[in-house]
Amino acid sequence: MKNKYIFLVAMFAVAGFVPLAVLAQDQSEVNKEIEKLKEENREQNKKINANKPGKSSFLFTGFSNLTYHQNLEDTDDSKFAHAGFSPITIWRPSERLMLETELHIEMEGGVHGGEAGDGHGGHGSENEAGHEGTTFIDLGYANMVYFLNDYMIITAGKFLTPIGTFNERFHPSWINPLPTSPLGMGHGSPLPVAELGIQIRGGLQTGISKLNYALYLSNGPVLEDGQGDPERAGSVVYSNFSDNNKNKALGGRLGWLPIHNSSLEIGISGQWAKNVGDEGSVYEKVGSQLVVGDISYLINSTSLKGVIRLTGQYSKLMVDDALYKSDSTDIAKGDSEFYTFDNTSTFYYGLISYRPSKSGKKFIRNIEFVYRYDFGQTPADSKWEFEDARSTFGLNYWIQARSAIKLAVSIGELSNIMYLQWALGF
Amino acid sequence: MKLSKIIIALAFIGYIIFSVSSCKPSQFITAKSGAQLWGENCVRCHNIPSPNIYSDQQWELAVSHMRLRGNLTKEESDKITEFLQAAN
Ligand code: HEC
Repeated sequence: MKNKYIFLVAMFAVAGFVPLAVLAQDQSEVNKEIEKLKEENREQNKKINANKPGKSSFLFTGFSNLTYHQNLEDTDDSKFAHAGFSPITIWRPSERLMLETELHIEMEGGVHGGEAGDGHGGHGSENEAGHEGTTFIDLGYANMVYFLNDYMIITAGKFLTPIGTFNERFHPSWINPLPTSPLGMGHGSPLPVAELGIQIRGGLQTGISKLNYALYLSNGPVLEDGQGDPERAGSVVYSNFSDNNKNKALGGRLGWLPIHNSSLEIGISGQWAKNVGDEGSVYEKVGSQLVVGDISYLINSTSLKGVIRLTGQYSKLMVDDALYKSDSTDIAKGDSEFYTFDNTSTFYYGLISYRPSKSGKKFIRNIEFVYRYDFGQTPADSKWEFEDARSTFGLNYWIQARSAIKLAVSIGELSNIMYLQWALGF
Repeated sequence: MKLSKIIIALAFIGYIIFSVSSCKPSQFITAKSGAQLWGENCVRCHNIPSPNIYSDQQWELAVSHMRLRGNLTKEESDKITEFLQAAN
């Protein structure tokens, strides 16, 4: 009997112990597993934290291009005319603060103004002489930006001049649908591209339309009075980083987007500089006024299976009349000692492009047809007198949203040129 | 003289378009989605880059840059950033 009890107790003990032992073993394995997971988790967290964004952030971007040019009347005049690389950095140390910088590194192969990739030229004021190849390194912009409130942004530094739309918005080679800038526009051209100063700007909705504004104070242009370069007497240069007088230039633009979908924008802009001549010289009181009107319209049409883009800008630059000294050789020929002229320059362009972006075929979707008419005229009777009107026809193939191969033929009063360009935004 | 005529003509065309388009609530920024604002605003100056080219943080910077360049309103750029960060 007793043995039976002992046997039963032993049986229960064994029966209880075996699962307990198994459970204990399981538990330790689970614990091990948990430890392993914890360890893995710690490792993952480390990796995640390594990439955890701090408050400050940074973006490196920009664009580059290579342009080939072939003069259609002079077969010898064919070359890779321009290579450009423009790195852009955007740094945001805090939510409201931003720093934008752009560098222009360009190689130009001895061409006349108005032919370069991302706008170097226009009607070239500095590089017109058909000189041999040159490399430019130029600060495109370096601008500190403060987002003050919903309606106002303050900027200080070298900023893209908000006059018209081409120089500020359309000059990068991956944005401009043609390999050349319109006459008078782009880098090194008579119209301002970037200036040193302070600016306030912003946008707001008024009813269904939108308004935007930009107002700035800059060093303003400098008058070339002929003392340095008699051939440029009377012209003004905007890249004025060492101000030649106390007067600043006041400029700005007002843009209106009357349609609720923002497809149309009409802008008016201008710059007033009371004194552009050197302080203390007879040219001190010469002033300049620049008035510009611009329009952009985008038609996104299903029936036309694509997008039509229309842009245009009309610019008039007026510099007060002044007397400039004639060349000694001209005086010897009987010219009077001084000469003057009506110092007004006019530049305008209109561009239309069509891209069948809604076509069923990929190849067709990536094609773009472009036409632009542009006109430029500097004062008659000045030493830098110039007039040209061009019709440019372009055919582009878009490899990506920011990369295109552009073929264009430009028929002008002065020359007929074919361009081939590869443009890439990165 | 010529310039002032052009400006008056442009203002007139603008006024006509403005008065013809009616004021439906869906035409206000507040009533539009980020995707719609992206489609309308980011094509104005250039081809529209795909949302997947940048990370969330990079889009914050790029859209701030575009808010500056294109004078977008804060509401537009906030909504567009949100959309791009969800779609990338
Ligand atoms: C007013 C014209 C304009 C509008 C509107 C515009 N962009 Fe841009 N965008 C530009 C220009 C000009 C550049 C070339 C960079 C510069 O300005 O130096 C650019 C550059 C870019 C780049 C390259 C990175 C950079 O910041 O330079 C991206 C990406 C981009 N835009 C996306 C957008 C998006 C998204 C929108 C809509 C929120 C937009 N853009 C609206 C004019 C515009």
